[in-house]
Amino acid sequence: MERTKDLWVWIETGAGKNAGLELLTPGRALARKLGGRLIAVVVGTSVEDVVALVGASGADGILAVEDPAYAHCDCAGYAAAFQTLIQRHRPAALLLAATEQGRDVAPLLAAGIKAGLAADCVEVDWAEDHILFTRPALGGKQLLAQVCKGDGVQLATLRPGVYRRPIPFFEAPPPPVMWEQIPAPPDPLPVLSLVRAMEEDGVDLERAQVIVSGGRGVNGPEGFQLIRAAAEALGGAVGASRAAVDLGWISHAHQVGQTGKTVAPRLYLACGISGAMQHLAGMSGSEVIVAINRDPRAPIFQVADYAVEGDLFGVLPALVEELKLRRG
Amino acid sequence: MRLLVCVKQVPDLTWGRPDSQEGLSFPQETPPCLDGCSGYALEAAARIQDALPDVSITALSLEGEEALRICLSVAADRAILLSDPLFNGVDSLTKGRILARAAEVLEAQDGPFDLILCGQQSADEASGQTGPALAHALGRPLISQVFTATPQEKSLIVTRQTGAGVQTVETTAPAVALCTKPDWDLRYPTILKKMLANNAEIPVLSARELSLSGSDVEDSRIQVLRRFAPRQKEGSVRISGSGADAARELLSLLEQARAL
Repeated sequence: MERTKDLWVWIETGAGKNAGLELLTPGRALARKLGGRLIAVVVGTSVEDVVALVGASGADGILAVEDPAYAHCDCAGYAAAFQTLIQRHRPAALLLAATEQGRDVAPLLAAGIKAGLAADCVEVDWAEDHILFTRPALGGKQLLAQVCKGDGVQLATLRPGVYRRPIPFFEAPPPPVMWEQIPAPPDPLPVLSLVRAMEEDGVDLERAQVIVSGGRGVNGPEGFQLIRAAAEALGGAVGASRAAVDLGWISHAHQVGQTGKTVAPRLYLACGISGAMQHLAGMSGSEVIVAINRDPRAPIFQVADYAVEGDLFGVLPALVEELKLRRG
Repeated sequence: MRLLVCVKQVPDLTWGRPDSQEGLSFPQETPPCLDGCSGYALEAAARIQDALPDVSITALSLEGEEALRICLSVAADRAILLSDPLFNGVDSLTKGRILARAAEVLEAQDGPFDLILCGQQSADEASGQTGPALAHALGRPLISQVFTATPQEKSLIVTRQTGAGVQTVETTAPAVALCTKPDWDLRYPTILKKMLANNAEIPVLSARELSLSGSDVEDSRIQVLRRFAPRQKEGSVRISGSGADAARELLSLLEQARAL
């Protein structure tokens, strides 16, 4: 069977759902350039809700796979399901969100079907007659423009937060849903039984519109009271640099950067953060970046839109007061 | 218990200098070092060795001799280097396949590995594909974002980072663990071990010894067209001061920019 011109996006049913819906935005543009359909793929245990949401978000078709066994399925099970779907339908390309699950599934799938995978992209574009994938290297200090070679399916994971999800339009006629039977592996690999979950911190950095982050410069766990106050006043979430997390001032759930969360909020305030490469890799996609630091040479200022050269212990309390005054 | 740690050698990134063309450039004399996440994988293995008798650690690297010497100086009992002109410029999926073949060759000689540890992703290319490709080639389960692995009688208890918090999972099979940054660093080498590591003979396996031919490694599916510097922010606005004036100025600028 000939490879089609269809572009697929994977919409996860769990925590990665929103990141998946974002893929429909670049997916729509690429499908048009490829001259094919935009197909959303939904695989999971109970997929109706997601199918309805996707249908209203502009996909031309939905490929749905439902099996209760996917609840206990590890990344290899999802990779196997995609391998089957790709062999049956031969899409031109598949976009996945670079979520926890996407980062595990995509390389296993790529290894399984021997396809090129552009990992952790910050941009996908059309260049003359091919898809151009842009991804950061060297902790975000360098960008690579690359293509997937050969006539196989092209795979890419995209960082959450880079594209805005389409606004759902529920009056539009829903696109056709193709139901496929792919049983999850009956006996998933003997791994990943959850023994104990701990440190549930309830922080949702990836979806926050405003993030106020503290680093080594906040001088201790008490300093984070100030960060929390500022986050509250701005209606945002609390982030942290790896230095602050390593020092035990705040839990890892708040960490932004290469070994923490990758975020792209509307507004990011970096307070007392010098701006190590690993941190920049996790937040440089933010729309507006404010840095407050006493050291005028701090690398964080190179990515900041507003560079406040001053003491955060002076600026932040004044900021909180001013916001309170304005809101009466 | 036999552990295999696959490590990557990268340039010491602290030597990178800002470069308007490529974003970051490295002087000729930039020393190689052990990649950060590879170091965490080695530390996770060393902690298993601390806790149990008779744990051997084998370090394996594709073209990373200096990284292997660091492993020997810290915790590894032996090191194996994979080196061959055929391995030049292979993509990360192929690297995973080469490492997997080497693991099979070593297992055929000395018996199976109970656990294979790798870094989650490297600090330079950061594509995060080598470990999963290795797990796929060996048909073993993949556990990502791992902090620690604690062997029990017949299983491994693994702690790992997830978005919801720190998860503890149990695995019974020989698995592949991708290690990420825990709350601790790689331990320091002792002077004696460091001297021994510097003079150690590191055995080399070539493509022929791994029964790999050109066709096994030539199918790179990714082509990098160019490397470039990220677009600089167009002139950031500077605000000086630490008091109410600075806060007010910042707020009104953010309001003008509709960022609030």
